Amino acid sequence: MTAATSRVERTERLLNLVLCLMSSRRAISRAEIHASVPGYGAMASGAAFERMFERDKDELRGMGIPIETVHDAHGDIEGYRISADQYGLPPLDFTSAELAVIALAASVWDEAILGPATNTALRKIEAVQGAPVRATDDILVRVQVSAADVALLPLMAALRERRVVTFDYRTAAGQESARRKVDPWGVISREGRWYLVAHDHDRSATRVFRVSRIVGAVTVTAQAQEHPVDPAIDIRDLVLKAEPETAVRAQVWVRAGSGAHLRRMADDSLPPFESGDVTVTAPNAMNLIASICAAGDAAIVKSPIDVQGEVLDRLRAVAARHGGHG
Amino acid sequence: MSATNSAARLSRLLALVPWLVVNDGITIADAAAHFGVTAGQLDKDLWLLVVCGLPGHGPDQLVDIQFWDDGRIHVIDAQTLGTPLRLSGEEAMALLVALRLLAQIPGGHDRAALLRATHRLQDAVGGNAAEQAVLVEAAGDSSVVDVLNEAIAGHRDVHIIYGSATRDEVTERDIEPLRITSEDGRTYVEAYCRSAGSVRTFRLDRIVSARVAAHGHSEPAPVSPDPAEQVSADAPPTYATVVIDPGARWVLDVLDMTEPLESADGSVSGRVLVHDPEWLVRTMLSLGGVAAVTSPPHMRAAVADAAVRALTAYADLGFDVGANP
Repeated sequence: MTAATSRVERTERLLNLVLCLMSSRRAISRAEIHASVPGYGAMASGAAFERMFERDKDELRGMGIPIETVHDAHGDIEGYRISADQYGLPPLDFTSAELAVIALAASVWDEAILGPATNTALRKIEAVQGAPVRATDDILVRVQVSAADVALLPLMAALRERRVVTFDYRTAAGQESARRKVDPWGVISREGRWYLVAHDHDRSATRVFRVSRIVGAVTVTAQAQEHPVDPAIDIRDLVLKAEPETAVRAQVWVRAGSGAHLRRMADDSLPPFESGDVTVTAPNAMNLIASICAAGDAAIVKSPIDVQGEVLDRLRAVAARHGGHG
Repeated sequence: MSATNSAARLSRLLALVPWLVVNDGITIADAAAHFGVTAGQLDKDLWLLVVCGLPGHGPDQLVDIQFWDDGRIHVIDAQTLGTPLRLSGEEAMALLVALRLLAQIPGGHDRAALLRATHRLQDAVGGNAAEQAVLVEAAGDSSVVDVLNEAIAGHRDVHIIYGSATRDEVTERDIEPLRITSEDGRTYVEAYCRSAGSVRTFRLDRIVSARVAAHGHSEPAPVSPDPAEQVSADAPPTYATVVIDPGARWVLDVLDMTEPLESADGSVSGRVLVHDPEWLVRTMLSLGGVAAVTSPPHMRAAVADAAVRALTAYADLGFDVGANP
């Protein structure tokens, strides 16, 4: 890059390129672009210009700017243009009630995730409507995304563009993370946790990943997905099936006025301010044991005996780890 | 390929010009607030716009915006930028996923308008936003939702049995439900709680049972909810230091640890914010000894006491709890 080109910021060059390609109905040749768009620099070599222009063109297309390649009668590239019809957001004519719902929807996203995209979307809608989308204080739904879920944005981009992604992932038990290469099919937020459903290349199977267990950056490759999602597939269903749960039941005594969590899991209803036995159904043994342990002396598991044994083992371990003696 | 800084800024510039045309005479500060940037950044954006233009870059070919006289912005000539660029994939996804999430929330908003707005937006982006691939579930027990909706519509009170968030207590309350909201896939009801005498937020999955009271509201609910009510006033938040065993890193998924530090042996330790000591005790009991509180001493002792009391309760009922206690 010559000194002359480096003085023009990249954003300025891209904006001038957009204006240039929109300036005429006819195609603009590469030579004209090289000569007339500030930033490419008349003195830069042809090869340097070609590389820069290719990168800029890809970037603009990636933003959704419809750059047409125009071919001449011999099939050679004549030049490029952006047609105003394809560029412009068509009139939307939302009613005021519809705009109110859109304003409500715009308050959903955390600034850290889709906040900026929501912002420009609203401003564009306002510009074609000629009317403000009134900001609302009435936030009904809020999706907050923790710092652990930063991988969501590149995953969403890969979903839209149907690209292959790679990332390091640590499993629940293991401490080591391993490289994964997957075709993303969907992301889903369930009870405050984000999951990725994807086709895993190395395992040749559908896998469900917890987004918070992705270590470091997600790389969106240029590679198109080999196994794109079947539109008939219900990603929610896949998340539910991916963690096969074997329901377990237990007989548990709960103390009056406590054991709220276990009472909600109970099949039979015991008046809340009475002590007594309830039959509890949990999605799996680990969940049941953790719930009973958490209740401390407010819940006593009577059967099955192996669940009771595990609860007692854990309570002894907790006492020992905290220096407790009976 | 994720967008570069230049692409993100260009998106804003292209959206800015047509918006300024419609909002002629707006101040730099107002415009900056609408675009979520600082006034200084917006000023830089405007200076960049006015040096750009059509090939030739003569005075009549530049984007012409006046903004230095009185701090108000007037677009004199937008060149070809007067119409906004159609919505990007990310913008369409942001709005459509949010609208679909909103559709899952029962209650006050205009559902017909919601569906029409969704369809129109889908049409405008050619149905290619891949928004079906992003799903946020608003969880909630539908029978409880039905009861609450009935009460909201009929201006009735609801009698609920509720399990507290941090303590394992059950309470009975009469509430006047105001609206249903969702945050991070959990559903809540905001209600005037007659028992507490203030507006409270209840998590739907902690409501053990709910039934509509026969009578209407005895008194009007106050207008402004007090969000501070939700924070437990029992104890000021403090920190506990917790160490997690090697091989039990999954604990980090359930325990929000600030600056976790890994030791040579693979164990991880760090500080955990404790709003209510009762919560810490319950959490440590549920982890079953793969993690331990190391300080402060009174919280460490509280966990040990709770475990010993539970073991004693089993022993009192005649169950064999082993050698110790």
